[in-house]
Formats: sequence, C-alpha cells, structure tokens
Amino acid sequence: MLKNRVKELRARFSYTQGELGEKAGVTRQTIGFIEKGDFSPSITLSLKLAHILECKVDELFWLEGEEWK
Amino acid sequence: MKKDFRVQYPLWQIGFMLIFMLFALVLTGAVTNFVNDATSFSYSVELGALEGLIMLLIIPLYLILLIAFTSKLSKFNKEHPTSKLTIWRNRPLEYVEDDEAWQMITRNATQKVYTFFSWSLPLSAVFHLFVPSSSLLIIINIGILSLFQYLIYYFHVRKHVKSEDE
Repeated sequence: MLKNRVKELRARFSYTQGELGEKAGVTRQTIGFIEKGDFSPSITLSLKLAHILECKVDELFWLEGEEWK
Repeated sequence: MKKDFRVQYPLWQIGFMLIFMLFALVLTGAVTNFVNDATSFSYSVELGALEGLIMLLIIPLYLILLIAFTSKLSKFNKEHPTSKLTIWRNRPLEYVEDDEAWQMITRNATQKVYTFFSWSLPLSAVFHLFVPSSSLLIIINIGILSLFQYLIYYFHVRKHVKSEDE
C-alpha cells in the first residue's frame, strides 16, 4: 500500500490539516484521508504537498509490499 | 462534513420518496371520476375516511419537509456562495466534488449505484412482465429502487465522512 509521512512532516511545520489543505488547494478532509492511507493523491497533488513540506515526492510517499508487483 | 447538505441530501430524497409512496398508495385506492366530453371536463377523487385522514396528515408533513429542505438549501448556498446548489439543474445535488479525494468518493458511490441499477432494472422489467402489475405496484417498485439508490449512495459517503471525523 502507499505509505506516507504527511502527518509527520506537517507536524514539523506546525501546520494543521486545514492549513496544509488550504496551501495545497484541497479540503482538510482530503489531507486526513491521505494521512490515513485511505486515498492515494494524484501526481499533481503529491508534487504540491512535497513542495509545501520541502521534501522530495519519494520521501513523502512510497510503496510497500505487494504494491511493487 | 457529516452535516453537509450534500452528504445529507439522499436522506431528504428518501423522506420525499416515502411521502410520495404513501401519497400514491392513498390515491390509487381512491375512487376517481374523470369526465372529458364536448361540454365539460372534470376530475374528482373520492377518499374513504381512513385514506382522507392519511392524506390530511401527509400533506402538512410534505409541506413541513419542503420548507425545512428549502431552508437547509438556502443556508448551504449562503455558506457556499461560490458553489451554490439549485434544484433547477439536471446534476444530482448529492455530488461532493470539492477536490480529488471527494471526486473519488463520489465516483465510487455512483459506481455502486450504477451496479445496483444494472441488475435491479432488468429484474424489475422481468417481474412486471410476468406478474400482473397495477400502476401502484409499478410505482412502489420504482420507489423501492430509488430508496435503495439513495441508501447505497448515502452509506458509502457516510463511511468516509465517519472515518474522517474519527
């Protein structure tokens, strides 16, 4: 499944889900879905989040286990 | 999000549908007189005591529901001036497409409803082909399909709203 560090990096910047969502142009709920792994964001949104959280996309999102097959 | 009008909209539709089915039940059981000749035109409905009482109860209930619905819709539009909802369009009001996650949830919910209709409609057609059906039975069937449509949609979206709120 697609793993992510959005919650961890968001906390580093002291952003709330709402603030991060606003910067990325999505709702607070969507950030919540991403953090929980319920939703895999598009490449565009992933790039935006990585830019906001000042990291590379593959540091923010990565695949684990069966997803590589 | 739980209280978002668009999330709750299927429940409103279910309410209206139940009232409509009750209305149809009473009306199809009533004695109707229809006259249409060269000199006159009239249509009258004669209700029994029980049917009349039910009708007296459901008409105010319908009006109350309609007023509450209109007020909720108006409140939503005041809170969301850039994405106002109107009943005068052919796009279902329950669609939540604020961003890509909500578009996915809406798409999955509509896919579930589509899957439901893909087998329930042919099954209903076969049922009415072989079972002698009055207009009431057909209306009840359409009403039940519609109820399931909104229930499937509502529970799918609610599952995500609930998980997000936890």
